[in-house]
Amino acid sequence: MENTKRDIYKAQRKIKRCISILQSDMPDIHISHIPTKHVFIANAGLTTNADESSLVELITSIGCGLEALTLIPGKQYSFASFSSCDQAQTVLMAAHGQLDVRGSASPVYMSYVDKVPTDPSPIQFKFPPGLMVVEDFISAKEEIQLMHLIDWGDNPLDSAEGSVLKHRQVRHFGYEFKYSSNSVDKEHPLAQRIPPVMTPIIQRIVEQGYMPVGPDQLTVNRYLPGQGIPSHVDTHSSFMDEILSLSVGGGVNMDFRYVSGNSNEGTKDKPSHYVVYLPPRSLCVMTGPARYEWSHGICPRMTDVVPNKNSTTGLQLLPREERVSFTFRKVRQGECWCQNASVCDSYNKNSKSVPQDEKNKCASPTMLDDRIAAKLEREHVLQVYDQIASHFSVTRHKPWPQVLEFVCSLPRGSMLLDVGCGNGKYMGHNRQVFQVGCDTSSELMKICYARGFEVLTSNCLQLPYRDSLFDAAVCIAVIHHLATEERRLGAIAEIVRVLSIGGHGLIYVWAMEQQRGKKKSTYLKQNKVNRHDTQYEELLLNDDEKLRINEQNMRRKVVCEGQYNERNHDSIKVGTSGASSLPLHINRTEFMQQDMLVPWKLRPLKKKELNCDRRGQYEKEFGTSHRCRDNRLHTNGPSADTLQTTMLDNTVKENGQNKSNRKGLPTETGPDPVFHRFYHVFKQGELEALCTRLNVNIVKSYYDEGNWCIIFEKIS
Amino acid sequence: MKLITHNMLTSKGIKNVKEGFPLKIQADEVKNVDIDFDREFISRMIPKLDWNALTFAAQCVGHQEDLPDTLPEGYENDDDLLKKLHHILLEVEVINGCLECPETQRKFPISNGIPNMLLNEDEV
Repeated sequence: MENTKRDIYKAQRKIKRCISILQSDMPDIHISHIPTKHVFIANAGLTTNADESSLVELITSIGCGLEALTLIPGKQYSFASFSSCDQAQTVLMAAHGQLDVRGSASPVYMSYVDKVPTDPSPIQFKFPPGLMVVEDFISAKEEIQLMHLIDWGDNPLDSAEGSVLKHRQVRHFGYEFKYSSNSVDKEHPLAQRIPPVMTPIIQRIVEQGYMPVGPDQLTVNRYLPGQGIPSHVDTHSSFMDEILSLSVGGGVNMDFRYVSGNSNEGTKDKPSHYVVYLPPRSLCVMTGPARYEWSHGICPRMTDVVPNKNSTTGLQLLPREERVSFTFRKVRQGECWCQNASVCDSYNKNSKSVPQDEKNKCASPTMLDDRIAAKLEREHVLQVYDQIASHFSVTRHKPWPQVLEFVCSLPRGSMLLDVGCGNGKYMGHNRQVFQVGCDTSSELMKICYARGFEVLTSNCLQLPYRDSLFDAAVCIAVIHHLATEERRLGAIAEIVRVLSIGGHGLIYVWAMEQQRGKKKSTYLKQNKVNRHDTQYEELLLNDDEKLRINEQNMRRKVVCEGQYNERNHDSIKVGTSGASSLPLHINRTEFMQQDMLVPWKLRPLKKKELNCDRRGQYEKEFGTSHRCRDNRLHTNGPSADTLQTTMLDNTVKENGQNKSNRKGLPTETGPDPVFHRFYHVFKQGELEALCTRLNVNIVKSYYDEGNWCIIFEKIS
Repeated sequence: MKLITHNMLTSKGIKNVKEGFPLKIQADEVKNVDIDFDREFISRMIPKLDWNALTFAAQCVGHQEDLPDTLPEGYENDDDLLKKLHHILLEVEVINGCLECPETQRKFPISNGIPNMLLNEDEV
């Protein structure tokens, strides 16, 4: 009797303490002193290793009428709901302070509550933006193979590249990932490269587009149950955008936390903690915000609460198993250009000399100040095109076939607008339509006018045309020159505005992915031919013998130049508008980032080319532009040795100049000045994503020779 | 700049400008070019145009050519009218001069046949 009294007293003391925890956790749930349908189970929950089955077992051993169990992730309590107050009372009377859940040493403590939490999940099983989990990326057979790839051995210190961290074992290939700084030493790659056995998986990663190029760094971690990894953001300057994690053997919950400390990004509206379950054999792809602005980590635990649609709670408790993770990364050459001051080491390194107020103006990569963006475009798009117009024009004459097809398919009497028409490459092909063009470069407009085309000078963000006027519009290789997403969307919205309902638009933008599967774009392929001073749009006449003769000389140049550029990539910086500092792209190579400056080496025009260009009208009358082509091919440019010297000269000049004086336009007249055009190359899906925000139907979207392309129809 | 282009233009890109149409043409130098007459092309173009702006433009450059106040019915069979319109729309080109916003009187220069419709940042 004494014992029972003492037990009751103890139970009351315990439940009182638990209720105060509940009241601070969930203030809208109230304790009831009379029986209700809902019972609070104070000390049996997901963190005490109780789960659905053990609770159901306990409750059904007493009575029936259990309607629902509510388990709260991260909490030691749970709730049971019954069909009547009587049934709830039966269970509470029998279990409170007396019965225990299977595997637990102490009895459960219970109380009546007025309701159960409606949203039982303070942890959000959601994906941060930029995260993707590809389930069953590898087969069960491959999984077994990968589990045994590394002999972790009895003595885990058996390899120089491996080590035992506080909580797990790890091996590195390609480069050592330094957990102290979440970076790599780019100067000292490891002797041990990524094992060839990984090749099929890496090929699959590239072919399916999860990385634009194969990784050169692999970290293999072995997590035993109970082990984890502290939350971290992989250093921006060390690795390219995509960071991939392949889960082998066991699944795990990965915690993502928003770490970007932009003060105006309220954390109240924007939950800062998401949990993502990575099942075995899945590939977790972190890109964009998920890679740059969210940290990822694994909590050291024996179990994970994971979403399960089939259980009454929508949750399931999974014991952890041995998990081996393969993290694939591509080491970045050069700097990151996300400009997110709170998370980007590149940004902070490059902006030390920048006044604080300037720094704040462009603290976010996506929200580059519109004024700064306009300035960047003016200096690194408009002014450059005005200066290179003649040279640009003689390298642009072969229209892309699929654009031409679109233009030529328009019926008689259509009105066609060419937004950013350049030198008018797509004008004059369909004589049955009335075609007008516009471009920001007045020099290019002069060239068009001389060729007999109807053009005007305007910005693509404010097209000077009436609403709903054109039957069709093309916008080829233009939108990628705009520096913010808002401006890129704005330009497309302008095209949609001037189209008539049912009118079609065709847009081409340069793709980040210059290699699709094993197929390289023309732009990359030209690396071999290395017409250094021409640009990607150009389709070369590769059957020309003169070019071939020249090619051998050029090859020598590629080697020298390539090495030189690689060595100096980090140091080459071009000062741009405002506070931004953009990485410099090496022509005819894969893109290392989405936003960059692309060099244009201005080759002085030969007399014949100038004549040809001015005789545009003449050329038009004779249909094709053989003259230009022939002339261009006669111009082989400086010899390899001269070019090498020029390269060095220009670099030295740039580095030596005061940052504020560097506008991307050479101040000295040397041979072959280099200009830098701003580009934002598009990732797969990015162009569609912009268009779906507008009043259009996407008719077709496709990849064409290193470009993302879209045809849409204005619907209302 | 051909007068057909004028028919498409607006200055509504300027902040607070509602219609910006039609723009007033001040023609300092006008040139006539010869373009082959294409009956079907011109008759398909006409319904897309704003008739008032067309007569206004013709008036501005002194080529009114007795155009009717409104687009007559059956214009597609009126060869005389179609030829007139062909001339006004496609053969008359403003080489130098300017376009003027009807609401703000902002002037856009036309030089060597090319209108400059670029706006300053503070205008948008």
